[in-house]
Amino acid sequence: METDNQHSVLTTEDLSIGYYQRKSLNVVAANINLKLFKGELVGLVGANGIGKSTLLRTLSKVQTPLHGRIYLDDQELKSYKNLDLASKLSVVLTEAIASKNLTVQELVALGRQPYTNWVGKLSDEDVIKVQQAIEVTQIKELVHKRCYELSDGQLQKVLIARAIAQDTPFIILDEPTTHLDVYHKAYIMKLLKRLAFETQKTILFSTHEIDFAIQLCDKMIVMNREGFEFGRPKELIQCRAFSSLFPEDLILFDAKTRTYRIRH
Amino acid sequence: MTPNRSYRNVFIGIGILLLICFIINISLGSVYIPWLDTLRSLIGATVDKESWRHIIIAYRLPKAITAILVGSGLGVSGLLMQTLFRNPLAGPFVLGISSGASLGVALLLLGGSFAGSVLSVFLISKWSLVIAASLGSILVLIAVMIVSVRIRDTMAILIIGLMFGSITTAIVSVLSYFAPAEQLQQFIFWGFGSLGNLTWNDLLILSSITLIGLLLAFAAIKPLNTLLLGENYAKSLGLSIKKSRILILIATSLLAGSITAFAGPIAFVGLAVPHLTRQLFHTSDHKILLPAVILFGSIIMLICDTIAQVPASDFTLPINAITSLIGAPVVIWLLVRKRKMLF
Repeated sequence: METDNQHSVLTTEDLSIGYYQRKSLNVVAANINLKLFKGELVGLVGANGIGKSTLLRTLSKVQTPLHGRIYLDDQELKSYKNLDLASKLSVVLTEAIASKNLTVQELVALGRQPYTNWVGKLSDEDVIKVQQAIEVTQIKELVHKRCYELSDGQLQKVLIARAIAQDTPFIILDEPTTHLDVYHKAYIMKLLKRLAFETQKTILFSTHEIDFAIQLCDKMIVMNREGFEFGRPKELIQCRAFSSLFPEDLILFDAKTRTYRIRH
Repeated sequence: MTPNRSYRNVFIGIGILLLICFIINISLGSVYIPWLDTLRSLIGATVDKESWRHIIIAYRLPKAITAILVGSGLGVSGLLMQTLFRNPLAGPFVLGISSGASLGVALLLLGGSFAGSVLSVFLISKWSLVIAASLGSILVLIAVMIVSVRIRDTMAILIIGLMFGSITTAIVSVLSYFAPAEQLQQFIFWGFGSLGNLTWNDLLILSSITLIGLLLAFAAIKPLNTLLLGENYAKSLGLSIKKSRILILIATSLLAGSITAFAGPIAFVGLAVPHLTRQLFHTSDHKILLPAVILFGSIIMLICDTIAQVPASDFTLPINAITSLIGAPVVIWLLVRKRKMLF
């Protein structure tokens, strides 16, 4: 147990998530026990409206948990100040950035905001971190382009580079592969896999690409109506977690090919 | 990696341009004064005619300085609003700050007739105008701030600002329907905007308030840059959204409120100057944009004022008409050329 705790980047204990709706409690999921380690790529899957976003929002301190505790880097999440949290956790959101007039270079450099002085001047170290983020995400040829000139796939890489530049041990991405074609979905997910391995960051992302996630993720979180499963993809297939993900009247999970098939 | 170097030359360039515009603005007017004598009276050397020195020191110099304060202050408040509200069409007018000032002045000038003519003559001094305008703009700003704490959505705040503007216009038109012609004329003249009515004392007050507003804007450079990503990203970078919002709103209201009070509602400068500056500097970085908008706004306002005073003639056109005539086509040109105004 002791050694586990030392390496665990994110831990949740009996976490319940949800929200109050007109004074009545709406519990989205309960008894969530997670333990995410350094360098792990973790995929979060579940049907639309099951509460993936609620979980990610709770883990990134946008929303308060109903019950239970969350530890980030051995410190309780709610005790973090906003600025301290910014050096532990970075995010890639589904929403568009406000100013598409920013150049890629400027956008990635904004990831260094928690570390810069009152006017936001980049130190030598900041410049190096920005450079590294640009190199590791392979967007060097894009740096002088403006965001409105980029394709969806390129923009996603740039946003990931910004999160890398923020230099946090934990990164959360909310559906980073939506709106991308199948090649770029695979590209982004392979990129995340490589980043988790090379930079030893813990990366948690939600996705609908279940078959790709099974092939690439170290661990997966499966959210369904009955509850919540967490483990290695192989273990999850064995305990039939993917079969109960959707109603079985239309599609079935085939454990051999690790894909969903349409029921005829 | 050192973009600052390439901007330095542009800054020196527009700095020199500002100086040229300043001198041209002062040397032109209804009375012809040779530009050499203009310079001489500025530095305190002997001038051929003593009346020339008086015209320049008592009238033209304060007007030129007012133009610089108005141009830079309105430009900066427009820049702050555009970034805060993530809307390229935002400006102090859209927020309703200027409408609030108009309402204050309308109540004073037009509403005074209800309180009896003796009282209204007594009340309407220049200072009461300034106080009424400032109170009006601060009132609207506080209302917008209260709403902005309750409602997170910035688009909603923008619409609320527009609604404040409509309410003001409605009250003003009701008031003007009942107001006597004399008061109505006074209000309309204030509405034209004027840079030339400020004494050195007025100027001292306006410049200190503008300076405080600009200093607050400089303090907001980092939050402004972070906000370019959107509020949720800004929050994830450790920015306190509420504090930054209040800082930016106070800076804007100080700038727009005091300027509107002293010089009347001057349209389009707040909206057009930030866009023209972005065209010139190709950046969204507020470290560059903020000083650039200050310089560029001053230049634009000096040029508008030079045109408004119609050199070598006795007329002075309303400054508001000139800024609209120059500003509106600029915005249309930007829209047509770029389709979307990016910020």
